[in-house]
Amino acid sequence: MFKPGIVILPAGEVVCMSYAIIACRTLEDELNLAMRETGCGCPVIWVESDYHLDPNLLRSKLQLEIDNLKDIESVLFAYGCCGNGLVGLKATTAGLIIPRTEDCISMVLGRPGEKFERQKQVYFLTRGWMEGSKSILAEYSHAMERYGEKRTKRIFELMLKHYRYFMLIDTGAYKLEDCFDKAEELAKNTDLELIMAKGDIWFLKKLLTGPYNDDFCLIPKGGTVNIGHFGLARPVPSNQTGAG
Amino acid sequence: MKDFRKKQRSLIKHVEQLDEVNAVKLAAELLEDGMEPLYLLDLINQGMNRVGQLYENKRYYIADLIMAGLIFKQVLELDKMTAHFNIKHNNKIGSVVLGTVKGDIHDIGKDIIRGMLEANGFEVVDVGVDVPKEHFLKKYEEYKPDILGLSGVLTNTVDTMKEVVDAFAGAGLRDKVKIIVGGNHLTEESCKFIGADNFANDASVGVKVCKEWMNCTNKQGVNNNG
Repeated sequence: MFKPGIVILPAGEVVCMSYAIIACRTLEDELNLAMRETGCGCPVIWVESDYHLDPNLLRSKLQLEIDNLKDIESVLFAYGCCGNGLVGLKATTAGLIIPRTEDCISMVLGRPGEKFERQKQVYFLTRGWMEGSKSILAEYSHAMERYGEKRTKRIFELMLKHYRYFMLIDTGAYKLEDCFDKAEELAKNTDLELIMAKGDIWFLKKLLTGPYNDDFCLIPKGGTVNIGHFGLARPVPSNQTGAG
Repeated sequence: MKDFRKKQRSLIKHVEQLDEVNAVKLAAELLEDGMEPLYLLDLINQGMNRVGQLYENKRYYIADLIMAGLIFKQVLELDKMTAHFNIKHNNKIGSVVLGTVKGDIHDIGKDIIRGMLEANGFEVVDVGVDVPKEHFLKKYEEYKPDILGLSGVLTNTVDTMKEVVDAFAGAGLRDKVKIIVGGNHLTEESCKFIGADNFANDASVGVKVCKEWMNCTNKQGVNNNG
């Protein structure tokens, strides 16, 4: 069981540290479950999921949160590379520990030690992705209200023309039945097929407990996240999709 | 004249408010009144820029960007616009082979820049989405464009874009073509990593870069970044 502030380094060394977590709201259900299961009591700074639409804004927002931290040794990020939104962050007030993964999709669908292959024609959904103020559901409601059914159909044919499926991911962190009907209705309205997949929170649990091996980018205080930290100079273990 | 100015302001407003019917109708009317197609396009662009700002301010959605693109496309397809650009066909300012790289199927950004490049006098060969490097090479050999445009939304397209650039270098073609990469996730650092000549986070910047390249005396590609 994880004890807050205790970390086991890869060499087996046990150290005490003070942590804070900076997390995307998209992963709220999953991170909360991981914290419950590991007994982690670190303070969490939640960042709204809309930021993922603009990596430059996301970077500025995260930097602001890092700069405001006091008396923290390391910041744990419930983020991946997220469209390079984390590349360029400066470890001004504490060290940074960031999952070496593309984003939250590979984080919940990937398996330990395995290369994650994203299915290309799939638009991924969890409750977190469905509830954001700029989620695909919000897009659809907005379009229906503004343009009516006929034009919304035209818009969504363009928006989703290369997609065949919505995939609702069961991460075990939220009640599937809360989302199933909405996902099914969206799929029906946009002529896509709804499929299901089993996800996992192992990566988030490992973020909270360590050990911090190659699955993570470790940026010491004073350092800067660069593109190489995410392994982009070599084959990337995973890939993801976005809303665009 | 006063009425003409009022109509111009209305056109910008219709585009900004995504009023598809009235925007296209007024654009056709202004062309009938004798407005120059390029001047009309500038007004449409002003409206599109406002839409872009509203999206950045989180007041507009992706659906609204798509509607703006639909309006833009319909205006380009008006008879007087196509007639104008067809006459200019032999005077294209440059050519671009454009596609979304392998592993990615997103094309909203690609389609927007394609429309804007065409409107600005470029000949564009759109090779689609999920395009492997071999296909880019094949299309280069077929069309010998001035510029290669690589588009992508997914984070790992940085890798795939680099593979395309490396393939051009491997084929001895890197110095024959300018390469621009486009996507929201791209930064100066990733552009350098990819080995492209420049990058753009939005379509208007991309068009500006391509126009600048074509304005240069030496418009051939270089091995350096930037």
